[in-house]
Amino acid sequence: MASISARRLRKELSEIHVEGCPVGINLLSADNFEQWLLSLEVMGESQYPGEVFALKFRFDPNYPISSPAVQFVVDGKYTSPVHPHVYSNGHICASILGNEWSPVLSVIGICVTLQSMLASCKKKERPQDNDRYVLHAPDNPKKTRFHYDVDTV
Amino acid sequence: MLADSLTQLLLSDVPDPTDFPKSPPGLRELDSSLRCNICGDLFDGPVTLACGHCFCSLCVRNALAEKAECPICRKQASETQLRVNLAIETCVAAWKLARTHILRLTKEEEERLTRPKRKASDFERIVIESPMKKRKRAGGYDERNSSPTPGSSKSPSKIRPKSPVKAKRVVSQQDDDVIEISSSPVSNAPDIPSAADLVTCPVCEKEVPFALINKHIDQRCPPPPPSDNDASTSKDAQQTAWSKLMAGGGGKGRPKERGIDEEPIPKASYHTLKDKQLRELLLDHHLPVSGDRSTWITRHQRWVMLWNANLDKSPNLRKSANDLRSELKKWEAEKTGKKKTVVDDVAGYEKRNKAHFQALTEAARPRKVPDKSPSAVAPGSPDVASPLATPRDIILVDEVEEVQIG
Repeated sequence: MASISARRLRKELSEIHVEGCPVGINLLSADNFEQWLLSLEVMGESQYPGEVFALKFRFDPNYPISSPAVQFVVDGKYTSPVHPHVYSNGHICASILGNEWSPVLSVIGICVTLQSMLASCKKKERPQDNDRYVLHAPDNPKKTRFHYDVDTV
Repeated sequence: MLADSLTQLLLSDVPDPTDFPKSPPGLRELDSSLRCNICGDLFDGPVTLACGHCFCSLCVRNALAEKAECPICRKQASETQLRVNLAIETCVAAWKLARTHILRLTKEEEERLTRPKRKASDFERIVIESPMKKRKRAGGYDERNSSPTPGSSKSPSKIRPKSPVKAKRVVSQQDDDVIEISSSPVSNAPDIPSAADLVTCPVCEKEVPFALINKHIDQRCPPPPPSDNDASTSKDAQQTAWSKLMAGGGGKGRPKERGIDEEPIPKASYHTLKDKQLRELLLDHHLPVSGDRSTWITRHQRWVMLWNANLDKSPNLRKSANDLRSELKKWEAEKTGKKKTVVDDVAGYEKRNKAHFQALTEAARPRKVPDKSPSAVAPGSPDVASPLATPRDIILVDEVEEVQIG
């Protein structure tokens, strides 16, 4: 438990505990240092009024040097938001989760980024190749090599 | 259920800035500014990059091995830019000493403030502020504070418990901090000197800075650390000073016998090394040569990282080579331990789903050909600046391949 990743996550957790989460973000579960669930809601005017999503974070022992595996939860209760960067299986195409990850980013930092990604969405649609990707997608989104383009959405 | 396990995680004692309350401003910020943004711990061997951002040496070496940019501002960076930040290192060492003490003081202060207001004036209050911003108190206190007695600035060594009814004003040595103390008849508390004041140890009767008195007594009154003046007067010290000069080159004043060992290890270009050379490289540093070639490489890489990061600390804070070796061993055990479970899983998983995998491979094969041509062209213009991107082209990783790699 004394590993760097556990210590770092413990610190993040206590910050969430003391400071609370930003508006629209809530901690759903953090029972261990391998997987956390957080809820995400876009505040203000957006394409997703009243919709609440859940984000699943999976950490490996190399966190924060390596990025966590982050995806939207798709089960009976939660769905994946309809967004040009989000696949229907919950996988997210965001460079900060892949090659633009930096060890100074945090769980809350990712949530805020994804929140603003949803908030800036103008047209609710799935990625072009959604069906093809979802058919073959690996369980862990980190195993997919996304190709990031200039963001125009 | 959820709350239980969450509080359990929170119980494990890992200090962080939120230990400090928000109300005396600056303390939480001070604590967090002395922490590495990667590991969240107080800087351990702080080093600065060319952009000015500071990290633990080991943390940033780890991060740079993944990506050659500053983790905070993403400016291009490399290990050669790393410069030891001595000022932060001494700062962290001092803060480590003071932290628990200040934490206790703030907690006490907080408790006092949260007690019922009626009683608040009955309790001893400490206000540390600059004289310009000195807080005015309402009522009877103002009279006493506005007319400081000439004797109020007194020799710090003479501080003794005073008659508890009197309000006293102690001016600290630096003259920029004012400590007001007013004691109640009930609390019977002595005047509290400022951290830098010397007080007489009740056990050994030596003068010790107030901030260190608890530690001093806890450690059974050790003699005070020799100051620079003491060192330069003693003959031995003079000799060592000379031998440092005569030895030349060293510069950092390390003991001579450790001099050769304590050079940074250059990185090796492993692909040009033969197995035998690689083996010798490990043996040179008394490292185990178990495992295969790739294990040797990761072991040596990690060792170079640990070793060089250790050298970024002041000599008195460095770990011994044996400590580093056991750290390396621990790291390897942690790594292989995790790896093993994954491999076991995969083997079973592969067997159970073999038919499914084959079907998938077959299904994927005809599609792969048209996919490859755009993806080969596309990576030419990746935009690194944008944090988000449209997934126009996706290279699908064949799951069977991935599993075998993992």
